[in-house]
Amino acid sequence: MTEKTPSSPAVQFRKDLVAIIPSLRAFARGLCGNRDLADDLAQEALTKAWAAQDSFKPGTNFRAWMFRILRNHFYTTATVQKRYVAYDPEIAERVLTVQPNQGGEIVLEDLRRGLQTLPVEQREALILVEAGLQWDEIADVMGVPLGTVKSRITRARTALKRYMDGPPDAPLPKKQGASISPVGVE
Amino acid sequence: MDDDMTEDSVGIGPEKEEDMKSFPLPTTVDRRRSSDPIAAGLKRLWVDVESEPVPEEFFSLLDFIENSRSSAEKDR
Repeated sequence: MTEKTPSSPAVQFRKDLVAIIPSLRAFARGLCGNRDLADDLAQEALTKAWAAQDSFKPGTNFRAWMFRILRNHFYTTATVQKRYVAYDPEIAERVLTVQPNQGGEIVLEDLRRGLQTLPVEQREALILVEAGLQWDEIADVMGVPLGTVKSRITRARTALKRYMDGPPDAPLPKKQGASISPVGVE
Repeated sequence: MDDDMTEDSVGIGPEKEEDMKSFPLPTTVDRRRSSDPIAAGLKRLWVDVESEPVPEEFFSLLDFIENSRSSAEKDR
């Protein structure tokens, strides 16, 4: 049996896991948009990470490794159990026609809703930027080329801005027979 | 996840690295955040969750896994 000293790898691994729990919860919350499901997902990721700890290479990016485990589990679970709401372009379009914001300021609840209207692969890219990961680290977590990451982030930001701006103002109806001549110049 | 599935939904062209060269992506997160309320809002959402107290069940889970693993090692 391996002796657990305060500096042993097992002890350090647990410390690393504990330290990353808040970020895991934030990532999971962003992915599934539901607190309870997100916490389930984060806990399942912790369990998987513990089981796979021998596959983690010390000195490599622990944060990216954990995010990769969580997102892989999310996609597996979402596919197999359909536990999470899938992206539906029709629903997203309906939501986009609702003015989310009566003022000019960003309302976080609107932003949260807007985030959930995005396709999940765009959403996760955007969330990982907020997690502080570099572009190449995000590409590593998502298992896609760097260009794909940039593309997804750009699309996500464009769609989210559209959502937050609300529908464009309808043009004013033209009056029948209205004169275009300036007043007094006839 | 099929990338093609999402391209039509946002009406933007194919995802190719060479297509991205002209995209005005920020070079640093801070520069983007200072001028983009959406980026600032997203960061706020992230920080809000990170700042929540971690539910006790997370620590219980780690204790459980650690104890189960220790017991299994002792049994070998």
